[in-house]
Amino acid sequence: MTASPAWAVVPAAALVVVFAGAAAALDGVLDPAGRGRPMSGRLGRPLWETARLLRQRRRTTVAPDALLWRAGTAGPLVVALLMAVVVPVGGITVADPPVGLVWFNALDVALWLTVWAAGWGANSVYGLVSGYRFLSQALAYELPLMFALTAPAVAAGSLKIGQIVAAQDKTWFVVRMPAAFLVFLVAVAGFSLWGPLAYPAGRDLAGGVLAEPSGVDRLVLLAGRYALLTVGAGMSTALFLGGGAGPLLPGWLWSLLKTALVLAGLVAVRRAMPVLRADRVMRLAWLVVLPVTLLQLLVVSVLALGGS
Amino acid sequence: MVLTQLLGRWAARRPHVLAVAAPGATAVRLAVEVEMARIGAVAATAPSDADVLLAVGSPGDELRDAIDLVWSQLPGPRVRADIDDPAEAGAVLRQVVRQLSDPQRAAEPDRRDEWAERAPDTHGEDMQMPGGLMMADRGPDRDALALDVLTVPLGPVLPDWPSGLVMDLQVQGDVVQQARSRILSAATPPRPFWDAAGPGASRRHAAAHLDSLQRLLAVAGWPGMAWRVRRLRDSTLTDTPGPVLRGHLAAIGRRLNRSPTLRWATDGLGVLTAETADRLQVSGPAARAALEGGDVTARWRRWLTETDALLAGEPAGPGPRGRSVPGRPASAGLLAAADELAIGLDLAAARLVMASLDPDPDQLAAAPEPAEARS
Amino acid sequence: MLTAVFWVLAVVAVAAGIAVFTVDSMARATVALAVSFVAVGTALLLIDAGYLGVITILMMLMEMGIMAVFMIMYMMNPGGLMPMSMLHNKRGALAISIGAFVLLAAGALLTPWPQRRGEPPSDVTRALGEAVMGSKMLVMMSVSAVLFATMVSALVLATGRGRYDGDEAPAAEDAGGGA
Repeated sequence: MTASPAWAVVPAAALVVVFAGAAAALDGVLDPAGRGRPMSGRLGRPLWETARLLRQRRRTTVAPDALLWRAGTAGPLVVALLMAVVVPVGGITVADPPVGLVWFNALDVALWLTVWAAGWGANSVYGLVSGYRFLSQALAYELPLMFALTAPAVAAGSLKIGQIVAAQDKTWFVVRMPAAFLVFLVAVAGFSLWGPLAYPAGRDLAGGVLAEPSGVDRLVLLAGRYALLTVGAGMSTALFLGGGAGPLLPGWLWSLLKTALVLAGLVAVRRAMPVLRADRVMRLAWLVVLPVTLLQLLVVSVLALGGS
Repeated sequence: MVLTQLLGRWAARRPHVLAVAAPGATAVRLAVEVEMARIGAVAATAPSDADVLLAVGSPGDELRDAIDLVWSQLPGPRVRADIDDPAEAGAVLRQVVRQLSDPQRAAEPDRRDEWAERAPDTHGEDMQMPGGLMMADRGPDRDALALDVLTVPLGPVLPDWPSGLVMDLQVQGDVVQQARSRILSAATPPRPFWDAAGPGASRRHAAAHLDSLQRLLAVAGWPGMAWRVRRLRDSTLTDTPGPVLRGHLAAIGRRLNRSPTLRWATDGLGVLTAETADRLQVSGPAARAALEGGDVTARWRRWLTETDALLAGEPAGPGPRGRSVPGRPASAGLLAAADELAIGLDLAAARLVMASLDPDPDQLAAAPEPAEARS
Repeated sequence: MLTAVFWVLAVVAVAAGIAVFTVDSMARATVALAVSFVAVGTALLLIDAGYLGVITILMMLMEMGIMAVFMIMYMMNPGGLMPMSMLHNKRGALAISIGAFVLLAAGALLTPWPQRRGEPPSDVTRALGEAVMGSKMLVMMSVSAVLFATMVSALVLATGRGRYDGDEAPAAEDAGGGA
């Protein structure tokens, strides 16, 4: 895997934005409320919404902590772009540091503070409560996520994404560690405030962290959610689905295809089930998922010892 | 200029509409929801999310004030309209969307957010209260700690919330310590829409249950399923044949019963025992559900069963919410039960419990003295 | 170039550190502390200590998140509504912090830092792990797994009821509610 020159961040960011837009368009297509309307109108939803929000005024609230609020709403998009730096597309990546996996993990933890600040800063009850909702949800998904990330690292004997991809030349890691793969996807939904884990952006709290921002702030926050989903899907491709491995087509295309597939699955899951409250997620995460991921890690470690 | 016009046109393709219904305006609300779906508008989740503010029905003074406050919170470009007649819903909505795409509307150059620029007040001694807001009080908590208590009203402007309902809450964190609900008044005496008698009563009651169910599903964070139920509710109010409706209902029921996540969100939550139901004079599906576990799950299952029976031609009972006696409408007991059951729950759970009891504001605003009737 | 980046990070770290004590809201103090730690972690990246740097950032951000959780236990006023001083026990704190600073600075300045011999290893992270744990690697790893499992099960057992009072009948099943 080759590292790219510094300008490579521009096409990488563009790719993330394109995929995020496609995810938003897919969400519009899947929305049952659009059924019976022309497909162009449904596919164009990201365009209509972006136009709406660009035209809309930014608003403020009574005595907000404006600095934290604005920084917090921009946070998810910034984090997603920083994550994208280590996500490989085929053999190409912006950077492949020796600790790429930990980089990804550290950034998803950075969301703890940014989403919380986005909720806190608006000085509104809905935002405040949803900021804390995110933290309690994060406490549930973060530990399983860390162990799920450890599994491919142990199997590949490296924290370098490039080597983790290379270690899957015989079998994809999803075969050896299906539980870790699933946990990873759920955690992606968790840090993207998506689907059953959209609790911090819940409709019951008038949109939660989305209750107060409008205009550009809201646009950036919504785009950040889709960008996080995109980057999460891209990372799952590299860690579990063999990266760019596949017959006939070039590696970068395989990477993009797999990413698109995982992303579509993540987007679709939103329509399939209601939102879970944090107390229920916590119960599940600590009593079931955590032991399962630990067992998964044990199996992977034993296999790795046996293989070496 | 061309760009501004294009943005305006695109933006108006999917307007976000915040429709605030007054108690007693159920017929108008249903018409507005149908028309919104027809023009591709979505229901806004909050004032910040809205381009259009609709006052539906004839709100009383307090609700009118709340609507004015919400209007000042719409970011803009924004349009406001009143609808008080189901027949004019479509025309008003289309006109509103035309105004929204007008670039002149976007400007509003002299707009000021009065509410965001409140001058700091002084309070008590020399304490500066930023924004003139009150500091949170402190109160004992379950674990014998002294924690800050915040007084928060839920409603009257909240998505998927009974019209004109205000639930005054005392919360510590997001855990409800005390709840007291009231229904804001309407300007004209409301006539309960769902409590129809006579030949069409079964259909009307079935639609009432479906309306409750769609609200519960939306609160549970399942908008797609809520949308399906809403469609079914609307066709129940037309002359679609019963077997067709029952087919759709059965499909929806299968999805709901087979969803472990929904069961997980509602199982064991807000248990209304038969004794409590008796004490609060709760009758209707909520009381019957009390014999089947009494939790939120039991209540939405009850709605499914009873809707199916009503669509199959079973004669309608005294009313979709139960039996009303003079001075105490059936929903009074449901509202009191929601207040009682909310204590100790977090906001999300409290909202689910409220939605699963779903008191009908039309009945309560119609009652002579709802506050007294509840105690 | 590296020197310039180092100085920028150093200034950010110290400035954010000062901000912790000069801002008048707990939320901003928390975030300022996080920014300071992130700057320190990034500075570690400059000396090719990739793992140490990124893990510092990860741990510190997480800790600040936990701190925010605890914050709600003591105050409910969002947005730093009531300006409040971040300074308590000023004299004692000043003495302790000056003492700690002098000690650490003296250590940094007076230690005879060795000259680099040979080349840095190809995999710094592995070398670091071996230097810290050496032959006890396997023991350390099993101990950490056991410790972690103990912590989780202790939490699960200790909190007979979660924060939400366990609305499913047997309260003993409740997990530790985190917050």
